[in-house]
Amino acid sequence: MEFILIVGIIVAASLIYIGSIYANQTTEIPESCKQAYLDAQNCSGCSGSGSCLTRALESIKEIKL
Amino acid sequence: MDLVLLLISSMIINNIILMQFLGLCSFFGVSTKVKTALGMGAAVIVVIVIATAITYPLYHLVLVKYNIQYIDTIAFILVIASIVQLIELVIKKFSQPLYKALGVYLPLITTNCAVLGVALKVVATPQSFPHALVYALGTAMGFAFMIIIFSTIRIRLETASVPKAFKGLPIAFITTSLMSMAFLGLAGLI
Repeated sequence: MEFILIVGIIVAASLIYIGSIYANQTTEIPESCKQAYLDAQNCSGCSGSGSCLTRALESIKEIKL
Repeated sequence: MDLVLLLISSMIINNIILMQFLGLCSFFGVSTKVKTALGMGAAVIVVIVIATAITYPLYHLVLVKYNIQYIDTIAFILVIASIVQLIELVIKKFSQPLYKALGVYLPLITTNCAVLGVALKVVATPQSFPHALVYALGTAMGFAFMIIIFSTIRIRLETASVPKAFKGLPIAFITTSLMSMAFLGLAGLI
């Protein structure tokens, strides 16, 4: 019973998550917000395209090549 | 009075960035400009409060009731990620000015450990629902407060004479550690 409940909760939450992602991706970003959206995604943290880690990995790749 | 003390304590004395070291990725990543720091701060406040308002009843009414509290982390991750997506969707659809101001930062919050950290901490300590909400609001305001202050400091750091090896993130980390030590002086006040 407990196992079924756990699986049920996780599956339900996963389905809501997948559904919300799908709905979000199919909804167009308003034209007037596109520039603001691109500016905001320019995060220089761990996953940002301009981060130290990414640059270091790119330079490692270049050295290997 | 109790709630006011809780708000001040969670906002300044037990600041989520400087005392608990949560949400540092977005703190360093989005604090390069004051405008983006303001947007990120506002988005974090909205998401943390809504996430706590949903995860607290979920924990006590479902997980505790059926004695399956140990899946709280995985359940909260999925719930928070869904909440962020749904908030972004609703704002995108119905309010363009709001989306421009804070909606664009929501994708960065999906993986922000500060949101998950608050949700887990709220249920780990026995407290009522209003207390949990005030704690979440105070913590989120503390995040916003710090990221805005730090963005103004980083503007000065850009033009400061810093050795080449320390430019960028290294000096930002050192500055934050100094701020953290300063805030340590407030520990135990409330």
